Amino acid sequence: MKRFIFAITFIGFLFASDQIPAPRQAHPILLKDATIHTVSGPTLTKGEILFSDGKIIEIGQRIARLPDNTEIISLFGKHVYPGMIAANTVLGLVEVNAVRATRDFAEVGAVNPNVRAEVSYNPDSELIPVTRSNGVAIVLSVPQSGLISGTSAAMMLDGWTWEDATLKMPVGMHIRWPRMTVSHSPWIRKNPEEQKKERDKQLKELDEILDKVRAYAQSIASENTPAQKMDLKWQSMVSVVNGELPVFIHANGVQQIEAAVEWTARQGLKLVLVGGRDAWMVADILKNNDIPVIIEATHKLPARRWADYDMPFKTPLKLYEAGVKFCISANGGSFQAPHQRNLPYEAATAAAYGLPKDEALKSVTLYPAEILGIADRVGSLEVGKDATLFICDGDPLEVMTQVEQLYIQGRKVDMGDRHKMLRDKYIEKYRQLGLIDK
Amino acid sequence: MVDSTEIKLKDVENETHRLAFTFPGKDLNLKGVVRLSGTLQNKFITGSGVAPDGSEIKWTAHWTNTIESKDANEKEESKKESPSDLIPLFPEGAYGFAKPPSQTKKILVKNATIWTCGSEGILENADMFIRNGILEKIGKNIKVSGNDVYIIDASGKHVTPGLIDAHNHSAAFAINEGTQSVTAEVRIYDVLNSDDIAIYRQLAGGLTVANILHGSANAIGGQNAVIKLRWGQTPEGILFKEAPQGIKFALGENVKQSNWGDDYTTRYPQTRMGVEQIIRDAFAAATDYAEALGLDGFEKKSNQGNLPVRKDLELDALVEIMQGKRLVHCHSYRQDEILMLTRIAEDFGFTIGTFQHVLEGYKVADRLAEHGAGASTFTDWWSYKFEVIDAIPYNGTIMNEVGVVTSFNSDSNELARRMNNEAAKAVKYGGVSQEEALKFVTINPAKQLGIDQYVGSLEKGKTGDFVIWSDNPLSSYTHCEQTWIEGTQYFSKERDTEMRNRIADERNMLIQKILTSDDKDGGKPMKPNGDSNSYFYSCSEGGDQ
Repeated sequence: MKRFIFAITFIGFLFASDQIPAPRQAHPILLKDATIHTVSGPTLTKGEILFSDGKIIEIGQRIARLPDNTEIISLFGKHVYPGMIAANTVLGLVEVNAVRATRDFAEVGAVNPNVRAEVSYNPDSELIPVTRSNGVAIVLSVPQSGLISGTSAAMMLDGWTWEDATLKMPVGMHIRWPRMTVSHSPWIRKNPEEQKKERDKQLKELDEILDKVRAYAQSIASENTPAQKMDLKWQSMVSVVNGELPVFIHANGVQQIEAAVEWTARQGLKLVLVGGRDAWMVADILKNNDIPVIIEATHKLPARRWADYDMPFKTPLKLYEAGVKFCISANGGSFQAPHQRNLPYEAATAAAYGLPKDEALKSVTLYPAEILGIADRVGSLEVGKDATLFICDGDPLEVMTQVEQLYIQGRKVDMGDRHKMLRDKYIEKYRQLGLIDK
Repeated sequence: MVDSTEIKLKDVENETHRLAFTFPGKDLNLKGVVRLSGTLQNKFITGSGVAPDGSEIKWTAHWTNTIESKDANEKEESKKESPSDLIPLFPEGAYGFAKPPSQTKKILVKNATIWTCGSEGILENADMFIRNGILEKIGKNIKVSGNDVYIIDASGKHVTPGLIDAHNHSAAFAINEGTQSVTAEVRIYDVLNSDDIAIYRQLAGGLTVANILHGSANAIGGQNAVIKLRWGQTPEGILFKEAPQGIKFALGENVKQSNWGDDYTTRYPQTRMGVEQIIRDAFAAATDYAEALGLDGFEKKSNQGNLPVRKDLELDALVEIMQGKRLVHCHSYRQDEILMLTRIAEDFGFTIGTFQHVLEGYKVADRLAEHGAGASTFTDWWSYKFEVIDAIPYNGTIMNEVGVVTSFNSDSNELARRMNNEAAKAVKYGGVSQEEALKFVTINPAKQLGIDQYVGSLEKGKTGDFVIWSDNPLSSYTHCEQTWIEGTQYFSKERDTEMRNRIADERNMLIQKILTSDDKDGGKPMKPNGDSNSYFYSCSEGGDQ
């Protein structure tokens, strides 16, 4: 009988993850006797949290009145945290980076503002259950190519379809800022003059695009130009020039960051900086212009030979000290999509090198929620927010901590994943061989 | 404040709303050159800069009007160069030592939590005495007399053996001789780069030993070099001389050039069938060669026509494998290829040293244990290419439990700085005790590299290679404070801070020199160049591990 089950699952997980999306929360749930880490407010030792219909109803030391048919779960020694948020990923848009057919995150051409991440998010990706198993509940799925890459979406890591999984779309218009400095690397074929020309052309193009979008917006709104046809590219950018949709500019170098700040200020756009390797060098500019930064990875090498060995580890601390709004993401590259479960450890390393521990926790929960514009729903445990939270046996920023249960909007998420299935399958092999007695 | 001083700017870069320039500080009574840059917004410029002494400047300005530039034909007085007062460093460049660090003859570490990674387990509130680079005593309340004892008070700190990475590509000028499938003759030893800043950065993460491997472009790659991270020494000086020789093998997609694009479809082998045959063929050739020469362990057989046999460096290395003198470290992923290589090895009478990465090792752990190979794996990487679709983070702990000597490796300049955090994943994924988990990056890789009689644990008679941590080494919040090799301190936070100050001064001095140099004598003008990260290599050079 057992063999039969294995055969089925094996065929199954070649195509789709076998974890079944959770049904809607059917009855109120009370988690009690746990340490409740609200993140935005105080931490309650032996506290209680009540949620119903996917929303947090009450948080307190002791909740006096419970609705009928409340499921009561006692969690002595356990901790409850808001679901973590990975603010820069291609999750759902890639399965196996080296296999071209599974890459759906980089459209061809330089200007693709109209492509939308959420529509190619594969809710059956095997990477999703693996990621959420460690308490990451929400990711920003980001298109990544060209100059204007398209719009990102905040995705919840459970659901039957991409529509079920979408928490917010669009979140930002993603722009990859041109390289400002000239490279003398032997790998770059263009000479310095050509590089400068190309850079200037791209910068000019950005300005021209905004001019066109403004003209288009005016034209399509006016009754005097009935001949104006719908243009998907320019249409998708109207909310950008209106200052409604922020531009998420991916920039790492000092000069890139300075130029991006200057451009968005001059054009009246809302800016979120992504990458921010050198952001600490221009922290005052970011602070003065109220620009939040998604720091891409602490687990990376210093950019310059002479730089402090721990520069990437302490970049969050530098921004914190300067009063710049920031959050921490893991490396957003397609190679790293399968490894987003390690997000909390990027924040922990910042704490190991000086960032206060509570700030480190915020940098993967509340702060990304605020920067992505979803803090009204997620990012902390507060009455009225989504019951998107997890239970674990310790500090989730510690590698050794085990995440035991995740809820997304009150729905009890299947904590199985491909890795646990394969583990169980092969432990069975060694049990059969008498090599393991588990 | 300066009133109405006209200053002539140099090196002006005026590009798309950004302005950068330098000017002689003498106009403001400063010695040297001032550098400023800023962005222009509504005729208002804000920016930052660097004073001649290296201190930071914040500045703002109003754009009043544009003046036609006059023909600038004035020649600045050229100055006589004075000799540099920079001292040579070991190695040259940032973070070099002013003089090579020397061994501290007697070291007493006191009141530490010592993770021995040996039979004594974890010792609380313990001491450790190292004399002439060798661990002499370990235990409670060690008394050593004499005022020549260097005492480290490690109260509240944790001490572990120096960490060991069994798969690393730092400190080498080249990694892949990717032209043909068998290149057993090439040696990483010949291209060691002891000046690679990666060595210093990894020391700062508690790493002391690394197995520098050839890449995975070939079924039979080149010979490895096991190094100690003795920063400041020569390529010969960083070699771990007692370590057994080794060689890199590789199987699967990299060898088949599967992910190199459509142009790479003709080099043999293109399938795992071909990989098996090319390795078997190489050992068949090496056997014939060894028999013709009557080498140790081979029966002398006359070769055709009794012609003298030409020395063959490639076959020599393969013969050494069969003689048990050279360890095979084989890049591998899928269970079929792992099993296959153990069979070839047994057919030719040798044992594989380690399977590297070995991400499906958990599927054939019984075979690995039976063959006697070690397993050096990634903790939790997967799904970046097709052959790692079944990789799981429980791989290491399952192999460990079935009896395979298992370690975690980095294969990355960056990850090699945090191997202690990687070890914690053996606790998370498989419930190994903390004490056992640390062994995945200490004594286990030492065993795999055949150096466990020297390093990998803190036990009497072993080398004084140790790390002082701010906290439990497996905690995500810990950081490395000091790293010692053979009783010599190669890294400490204090010295690092001193170096940073020196580097800042030196950089500033060099930049000032460049800015004041006369570049009209021909040749290229000098420019300070910040972005000069040297290229570093990964296993397949494409970023695909």
